[in-house]
Amino acid sequence: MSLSQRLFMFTIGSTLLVLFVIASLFISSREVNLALQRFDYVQRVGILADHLSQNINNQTELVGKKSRKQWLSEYKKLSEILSSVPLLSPEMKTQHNSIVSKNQSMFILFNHISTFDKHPPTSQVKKHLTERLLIQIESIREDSQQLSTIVREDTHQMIKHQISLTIFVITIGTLGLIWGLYNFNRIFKLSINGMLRGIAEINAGTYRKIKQVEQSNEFSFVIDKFNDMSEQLQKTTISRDSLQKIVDERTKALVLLSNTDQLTNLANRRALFERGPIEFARSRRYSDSLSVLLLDCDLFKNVNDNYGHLIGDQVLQHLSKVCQQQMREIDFIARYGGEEFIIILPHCDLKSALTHAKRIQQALHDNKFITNEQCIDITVSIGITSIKECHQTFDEMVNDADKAMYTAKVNGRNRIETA
Amino acid sequence: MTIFHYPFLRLSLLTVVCLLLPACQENIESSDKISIKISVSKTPLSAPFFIAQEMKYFEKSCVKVTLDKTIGGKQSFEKVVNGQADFGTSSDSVIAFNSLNRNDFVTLTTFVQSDNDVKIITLDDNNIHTSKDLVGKRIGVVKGAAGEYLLSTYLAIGGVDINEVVIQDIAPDKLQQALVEKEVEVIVSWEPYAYQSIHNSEIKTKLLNTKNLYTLSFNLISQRLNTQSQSNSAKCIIDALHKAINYIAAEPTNSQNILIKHLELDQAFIKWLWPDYIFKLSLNRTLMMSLESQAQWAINTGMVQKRNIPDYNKIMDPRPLEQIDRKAITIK
Repeated sequence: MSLSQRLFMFTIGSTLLVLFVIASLFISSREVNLALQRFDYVQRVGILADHLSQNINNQTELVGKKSRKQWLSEYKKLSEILSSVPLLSPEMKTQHNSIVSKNQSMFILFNHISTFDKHPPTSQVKKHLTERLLIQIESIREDSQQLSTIVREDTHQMIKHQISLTIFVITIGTLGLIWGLYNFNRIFKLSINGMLRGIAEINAGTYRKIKQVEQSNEFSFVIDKFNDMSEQLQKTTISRDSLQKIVDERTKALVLLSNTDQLTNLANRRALFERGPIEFARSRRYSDSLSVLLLDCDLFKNVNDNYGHLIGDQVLQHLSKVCQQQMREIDFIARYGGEEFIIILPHCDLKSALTHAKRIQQALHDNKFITNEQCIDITVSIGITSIKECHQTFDEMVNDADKAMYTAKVNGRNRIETA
Repeated sequence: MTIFHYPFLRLSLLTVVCLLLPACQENIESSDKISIKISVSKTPLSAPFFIAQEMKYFEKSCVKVTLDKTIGGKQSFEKVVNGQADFGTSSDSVIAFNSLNRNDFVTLTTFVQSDNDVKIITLDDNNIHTSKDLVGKRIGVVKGAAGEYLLSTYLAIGGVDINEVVIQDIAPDKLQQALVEKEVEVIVSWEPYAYQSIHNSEIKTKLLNTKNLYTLSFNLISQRLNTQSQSNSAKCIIDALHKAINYIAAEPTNSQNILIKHLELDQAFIKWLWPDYIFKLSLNRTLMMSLESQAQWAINTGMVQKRNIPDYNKIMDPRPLEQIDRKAITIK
């Protein structure tokens, strides 16, 4: 069912409810009006019965023409009231019929008594018939009192009934309205939440179709469109991803290229000064040891001069290879410049660094560079420094290592000096 | 392993027992019900009893009722005081006359009133038109009942003393025959015998105008309710009558049909008679005043050889009616 149809139904329901409440109030007002009419009727009958009774109580006055005229006038009034009776229930009708019947009997008795003026009976007969007349009036009074009680009880019952009906109608109506509003709210909430979830998934790069939990034509249409859009977006977004992947790969290659020395395939100076400060900071943070070796190939200029630059390059490649073979996985080697290399040794104190340096020198001694059946003996001078309190930056460590290496050069090459 | 080890079977058995229990209880109650015999005057005035029986209101009450159809309220009264019936239906006149001689009965409720049930009928060729024409005539009447009271009142209005006519005490169902056979010139009869006399093809009758002259009431009477059981029975009967009267008010046509069936009457008769009847429960001052008035009249006119009227409060027992319809009682 469409939302507009639901809304239409809801409006119709609400209108019917309002009409039902109005009808209920209208019926109530009619019932109240009827009850008032009945009260009025009963009251008037009771008052007239009292008047008739009062007039007849004095038997001597009844004989008088004036009293008789007054009595007849009241009898007529009572008859008129009885002839214009409001709508009564069967029980009330019974009381009313009783009053009407006794009213007629009363009149007939009164007429008989009236004839006593012309034909006076014995006082015994007169007394008895007057008594009977009084009994009829008393009976009317009693009937009117009983009718009054019935009307009162019926009115109370009616009021209770009407109140119950009104409460029932309002309760049902309110529940209906709440149910309707809850339903609308649920449809809106579920549908909108579904779409929001879909949007969030698209943002997260997941392209799933939204399922409609509650059927409504309007939302079905929107969700279908959304799903179409999601499908289209999925197609176009796959091309973009591929492109991004290529860009990422190229970027990665470029980064690698920019950080690598082309001759030795070791990290270059740029990469060294990216990694060095990181290791320096880590060592400082964890109060850990850190050592730096600065290696310089001894008499490298002579190699270039004697064997040519090509052999010089090969020597550097050999040197870097031997150094790499002696390194741990966590160590970092970079070509510092020309024939100079720097090795960063994390978690390594001066003593261990010295051992490292010696091991490198030994490895170079053991793995001589051979070219064109000629063996070239390569040695390195190594300057070592370990992190100290006075070092503020990685550059300062490099500087100290450089100084130590220079000392090693001055002191005769193929040496290890510490700073 | 018994079935009681199965919770479902146990629950089912319990449900069946619970369902059967009220039915069993009803049967037990039905068999324990007190049997009551009500002597009901065979007149349309007793309609609430026939309707209560037809609609099974008695069966639904706490007593098992048998209706004993009796000719007239006087006979019904006698059956009650003689112990042949537990309850009976009698007119206010029967109660008024009998209260002068005995006080071993009580009036429990009035259930109907009519201003035209008792009629004075004569043959057309008797040339009787007014009460004065009755002087010296033989009049058939049920003595000590409503008919005698109506006759005395009718005569008094015309200035005729009851001793100026010849009263013959005749059973209600024999009055018509007495008129046909000219044993009497006038009869005072009540329905349905009055209607039968008027519509008797053998005779041409004349009805004297007595409408509204006397409002007759019919009442439920019993011996004094000395035990709780008797009071309960009375309450149950009045409850059934209350329901029957409500039914009459709501379904007048069906009520008339029930009456036709029970009393084997003509539909035309019931339709003719019905407007005169007012069925309602009451025990009020009017009844008391009427009884006093009729008793005093009977003493004054010499219909009975008594001097003092009794205290009518003592022959009214409002307790059972009070439990059914409090507003119907206006006596103290």
